Amino acid sequence: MQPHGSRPTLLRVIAVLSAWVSIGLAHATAAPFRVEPATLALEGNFARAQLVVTALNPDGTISERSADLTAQASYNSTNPQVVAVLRPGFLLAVADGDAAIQVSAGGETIEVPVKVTGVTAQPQIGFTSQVLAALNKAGCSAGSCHASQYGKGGFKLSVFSFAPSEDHAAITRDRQARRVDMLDPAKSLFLLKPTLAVPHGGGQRLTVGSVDYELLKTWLASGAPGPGADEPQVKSLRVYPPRRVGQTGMSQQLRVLADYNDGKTRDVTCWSRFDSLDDSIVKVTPEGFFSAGGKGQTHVMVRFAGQAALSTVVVPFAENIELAGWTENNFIDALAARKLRELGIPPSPLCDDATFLRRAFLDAIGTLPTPDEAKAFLDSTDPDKRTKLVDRLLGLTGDPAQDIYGNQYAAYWTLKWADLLRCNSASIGEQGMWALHNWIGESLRQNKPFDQFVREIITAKGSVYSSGPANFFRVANNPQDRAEMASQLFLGVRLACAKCHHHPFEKYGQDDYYGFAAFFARVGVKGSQEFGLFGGEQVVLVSSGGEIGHPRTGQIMKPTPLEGQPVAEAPDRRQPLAQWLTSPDNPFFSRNIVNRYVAYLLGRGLVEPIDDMRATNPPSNSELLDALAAEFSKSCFNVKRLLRTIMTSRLYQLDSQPLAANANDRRFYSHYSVKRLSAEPLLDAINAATGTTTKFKNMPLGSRAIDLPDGDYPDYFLKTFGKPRRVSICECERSSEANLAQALHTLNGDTVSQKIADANGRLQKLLQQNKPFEENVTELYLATFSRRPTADELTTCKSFLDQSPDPKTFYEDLLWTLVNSKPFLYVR
Amino acid sequence: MSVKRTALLLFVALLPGSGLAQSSYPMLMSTKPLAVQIGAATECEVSARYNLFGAYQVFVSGSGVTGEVVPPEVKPDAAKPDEKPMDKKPEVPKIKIRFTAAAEAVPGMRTFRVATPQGVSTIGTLVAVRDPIVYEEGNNDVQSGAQAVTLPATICGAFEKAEDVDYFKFTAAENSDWTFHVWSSRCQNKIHDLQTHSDPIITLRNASGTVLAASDNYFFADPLLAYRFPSAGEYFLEIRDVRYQGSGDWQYVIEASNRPFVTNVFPPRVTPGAATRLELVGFNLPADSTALVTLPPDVPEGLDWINLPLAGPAGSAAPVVVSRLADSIESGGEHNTAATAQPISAPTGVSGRIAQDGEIDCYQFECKKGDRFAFEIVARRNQSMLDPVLRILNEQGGALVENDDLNTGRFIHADSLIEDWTAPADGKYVIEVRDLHLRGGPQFVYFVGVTKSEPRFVLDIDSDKTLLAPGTGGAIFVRAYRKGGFAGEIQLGVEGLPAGVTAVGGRILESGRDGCIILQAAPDAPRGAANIKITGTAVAAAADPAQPPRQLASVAEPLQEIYMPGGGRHHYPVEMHTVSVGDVMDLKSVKLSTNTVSLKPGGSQKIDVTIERREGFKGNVTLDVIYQHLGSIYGDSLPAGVKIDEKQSQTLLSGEQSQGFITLTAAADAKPVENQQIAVMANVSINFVMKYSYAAEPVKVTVTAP
Repeated sequence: MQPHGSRPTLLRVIAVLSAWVSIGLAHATAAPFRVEPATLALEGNFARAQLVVTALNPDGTISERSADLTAQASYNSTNPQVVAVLRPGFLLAVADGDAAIQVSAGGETIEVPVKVTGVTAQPQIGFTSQVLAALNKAGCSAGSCHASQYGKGGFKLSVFSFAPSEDHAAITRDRQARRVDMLDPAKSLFLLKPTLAVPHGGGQRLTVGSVDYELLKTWLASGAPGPGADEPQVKSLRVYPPRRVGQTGMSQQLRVLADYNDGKTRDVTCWSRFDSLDDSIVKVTPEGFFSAGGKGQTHVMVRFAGQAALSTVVVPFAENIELAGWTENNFIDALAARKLRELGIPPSPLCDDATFLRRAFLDAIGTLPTPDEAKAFLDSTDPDKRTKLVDRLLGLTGDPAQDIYGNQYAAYWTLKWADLLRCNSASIGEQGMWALHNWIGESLRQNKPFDQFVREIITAKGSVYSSGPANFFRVANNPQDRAEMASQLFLGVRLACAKCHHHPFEKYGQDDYYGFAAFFARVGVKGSQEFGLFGGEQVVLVSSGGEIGHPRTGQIMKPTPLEGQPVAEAPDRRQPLAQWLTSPDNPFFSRNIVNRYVAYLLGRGLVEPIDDMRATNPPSNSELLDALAAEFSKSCFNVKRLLRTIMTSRLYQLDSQPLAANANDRRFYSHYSVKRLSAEPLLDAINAATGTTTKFKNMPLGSRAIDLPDGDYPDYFLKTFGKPRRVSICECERSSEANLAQALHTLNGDTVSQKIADANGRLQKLLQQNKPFEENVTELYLATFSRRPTADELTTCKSFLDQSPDPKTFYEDLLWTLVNSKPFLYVR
Repeated sequence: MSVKRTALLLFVALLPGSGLAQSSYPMLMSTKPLAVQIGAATECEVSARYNLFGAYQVFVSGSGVTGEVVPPEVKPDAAKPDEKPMDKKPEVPKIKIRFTAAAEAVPGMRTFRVATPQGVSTIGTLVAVRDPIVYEEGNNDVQSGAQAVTLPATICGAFEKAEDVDYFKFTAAENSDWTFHVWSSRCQNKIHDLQTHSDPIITLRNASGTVLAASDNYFFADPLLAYRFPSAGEYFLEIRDVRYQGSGDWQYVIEASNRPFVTNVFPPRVTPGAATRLELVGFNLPADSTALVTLPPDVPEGLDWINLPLAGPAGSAAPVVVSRLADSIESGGEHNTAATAQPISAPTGVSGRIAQDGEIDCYQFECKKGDRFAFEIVARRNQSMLDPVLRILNEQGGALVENDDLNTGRFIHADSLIEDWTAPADGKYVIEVRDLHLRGGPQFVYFVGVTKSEPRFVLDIDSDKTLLAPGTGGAIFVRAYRKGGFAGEIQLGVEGLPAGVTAVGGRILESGRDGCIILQAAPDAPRGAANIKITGTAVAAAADPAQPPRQLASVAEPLQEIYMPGGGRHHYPVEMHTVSVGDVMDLKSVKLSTNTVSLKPGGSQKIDVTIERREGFKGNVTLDVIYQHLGSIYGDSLPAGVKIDEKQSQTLLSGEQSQGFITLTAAADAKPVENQQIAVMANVSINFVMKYSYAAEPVKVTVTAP
């Protein structure tokens, strides 16, 4: 029995479409273009494929800049009863046989042989591999549609079809099977709704007679079989071309290939979903045809069957630019320059010494230079003084007399990692909080190799009072939380979505999630009395049992690294995890860490958000990220060396003042990215500038804000400037945004005004010394901006002094102005 | 609620209020300085909650250290018991005690008590040290104000207040090795102060303030820092509570020394009378890092600290396990699986070490079906880094039984114990030892005692002191833990009572777990105090009926009660149970209408109780025959089936009441018992959780046959 109406209807459609795209033929000669693929095999009913036609360069090659002719070319099927052309370059298998597609452009023709097999009168439609693919393409399985929490209109599908059996039941059995009519498939609600034959809240998603419509109808007519165990599964996805460079107006048809676990590769362009990562640069159609409307670099994200791939699009701002005066201090500069040239973005010049001094101090140790330190640096004529300053700040000189910033370095970076590790007495108690804080600090002070730092966390055990990292397992007190925390912190992979459904933009699903969580299934906690009966000590340990089950299948999950194979059982499952995680061969690890440090120093990561690294969120300069990661790995994960490499690069030392030609650049580091000082360094800077201290709860007077170990302090200033409570592993918990409350507080609040007026503060001491006007102003500038005032500034100050009722008022006003100015509040 | 607030609440709860006792024994809070130099005398200021007025004697645990009260300015009137209530006595919260440590004293912590007319105190602590003592002075809270000290020295001080940080400066020679060993938390954990304790951290800095090294928790909460100074110069030692908390009672000792510092020895076990060469583990060890040790033949078995005979300066004390079991030592070969297990002959004592991460030690022994053994690992209690896990495997490596932490019923240790394991068949079995965390290293030493499970029992005493006044009595409850199949009755006895005090030892019935001893101070008993020893004896039938019964004996371990936030009652072991005769307390006597109770099953009998209050004492008094707190029973010597009939008893005597009664009833199925000793107690609350218990003369309860 012939499937209900599939062939006749489909053939009619094909005939019309073939006629439409069949434009005059030309003789086959040496064509100035190439067709991808050169030959084609289509297997099975409804098999489709996309041809891509690319103009050849004069030398006969194809490059990233080669023009796409797919839309302009004409296509003719030598046998439309075997293969039909539905739209430019897009083919459909009709019946078994051999044919060719004649592709013509510029007066030349190339013939693409096509072999069609497996087309039968009673095709077996795969539910997972075809029906769900069609539904996904139509958008039915999107979170905004029937895959929302409660479905739509009583019809609920799984997100991106991660649960085929449930989806099959929802389509064929739910509501007394009202959605399907297998005797007359065209009358199935399942088809009537998306074709708008009956009202449908989601609008029209299918056209009657379209290939996917016919596919679904055929499936219904064949009894609507469910997921088959032997249906092929997609292993990976490829997109062609992977990268295009061109001018505004450039367009490109994409072709998507999926590699299946049955060893076959199929063209899945028709079922792939296409999204531009930046619509202002590139717009893409549902058929995978993009056109560039703006300048810059972006990507087209392609998704199919839980896999994702990217096609990079570069539209330079200018061609063949010169990087005037550019010199390369290290490989960062070479790779950055390559990207800037590619994009046609000129870099800003180097910043001045004072700017560099202040930037380096605040970035490396979260602390302002003292006036004496500033003067010494500014007055130095040593051509290597910037590099030497970096070495001193990082404690790399080997000379104890120069390596004097170790405490500030450890405190500042402890603040960063304590945020991320959620070092918070509210969740791990006061002693646990201190243990974790002190362990982080000691690790950083010693410049412990970062892989070791992470291994010690992942495999932490013992007393939560004596082993700081053991508190990781109290902060995250179940295998799922531990898996999410470890993957996001140390791999930059946000696994949380995959807890419930397949990650929308990533290849990870529940199998990956629970396989990863299984590494932590045997971590337990026991009580101990070794710190006294009042001590309340807990000991993190590895139990001999404990498993994680798959929430849908109930299957016991074997510990499995992301994108890896299950590991052999070990006395402590975390050991193989730690080895895999920190292996030099694990690109996730080093790329994630260097990306974080790039963001900390350069104002934004090569990947943003910096803890969301995935194939569909590519770096702005992947070569630079790869090179930094390789260098970091080669250096045995030496963080200070990484900091030194970045800070001594020319890129880090660029002026923050943009040029007209790079003012719009926010991604490629053509000028230094201005950052607001975060809460603790800013408060310390105000204290340093005003010569005062702030008393913090449970800390001795004189403690700096960067020394604070806990997440929660009743300090209005710190709260207003975004000190996080450490309840999230997301970098975003620490707000770097400027807001009105911050401005009002420094302008009108009592923190700054009281410190300026402090009887023991810098200003009062300065006034008591009766120094000349110029010296006083100079000290205030050095204490705030780390530079001397300019002549104009001195003149202006003098005029204000002359207008003031008394010198004290003037100097207070001056210090208030300096502290409230952007050069003080920001790292520039 | 924060720990700080909880502690504050507890502190408030512990303050005596109206209606509570007007008498209380002193609770020692701190010793300043917390150290006595070996071979010298050190005068220490000892402070207490409640009154140290009239302190006259000091008891120090262990050997080598003695103490005497430096006569206070206010002296008690006379040796004659004083009837003045406490609030009429001069308030003496601090006294001076001169501690003397003999030249041969072993370094380390001691505990001590002070006898006063108000009763003997709770425990105080003190550390015997080798190097001269300096106490912090002046304002040394910032590095620029650091107090200069010359090393080696014993630096003493206190985390006097919240956010206190103390700095000391010293000079060190180039490439010189020093250790900085802190005693603070461990000392406070012995104190009955019912509040949070210090958690010190020490940090070494150079002249610029840059941190060179730090140590937080090494010996539990106390730090040990070993450091080689790379260049000659001035350095700074910072000490603080890691949380920046503080209290005047939080004293510390820093042994800053370049002496050998021995953390462990291998083998960790020493046989009395036999020469044993010990490999030393630690810091600043001499070129020959071994020591030949011979302990006297009569040294008791158990954990001990010893001085090591070293070439050069004397070092720290070394922890050893004294055992007379046949000696076995871990061999050098592979023995990490059942298949490669090292053969041993049980019973034995095995000395071993988990020398590296992931190591597992296996020992194979042979036994017959039905043989019963006990396996006990001593590691953490002996200052080892090992947190052991013990398993018994069959010859094929299959696990038969496992233990991680040793639970005595009163407390939990990280060490492991498997008792009364019975071999299921003739054959070979394997003892497997590993670290819970799969760690290892030189300090991961252990001793496994493998002994035949034979009938025996262990006793503990639910009190650390008994306070009497002339004419009053007190009860001591003893709890038995029967082991090795022993199920019999235990007779209790007491030795070492102070003058004028007599005791009637009770028994722990076969069906019970507690027994009591009643102490009675004669009306003319002189003021005095003494440490007592309580012993239990029993007879156990031999496994072979042809053999004579076995005589069993055990010395009871005193326990200090402690009350947790929320009111829960716990204990920790102490080394002394002290009995004192002091001034008249709130009750002068507790009299009964009868000292014999005879009950038929289902019957009852009333005991009239008359208390004599000291003039002016009008606090509530509760009568009881069971030692209990908030519904939990800590001492109950009543025969099985016998209990108080609460409805037929008047146990609360308020205001000026002095008459009450207790009715005992026997259940219908109560088994016959003759003359079981019980204590009728009159309890007076000191505060929300603590109380004084006065006891009447012993009552003998008989349950007759139906």
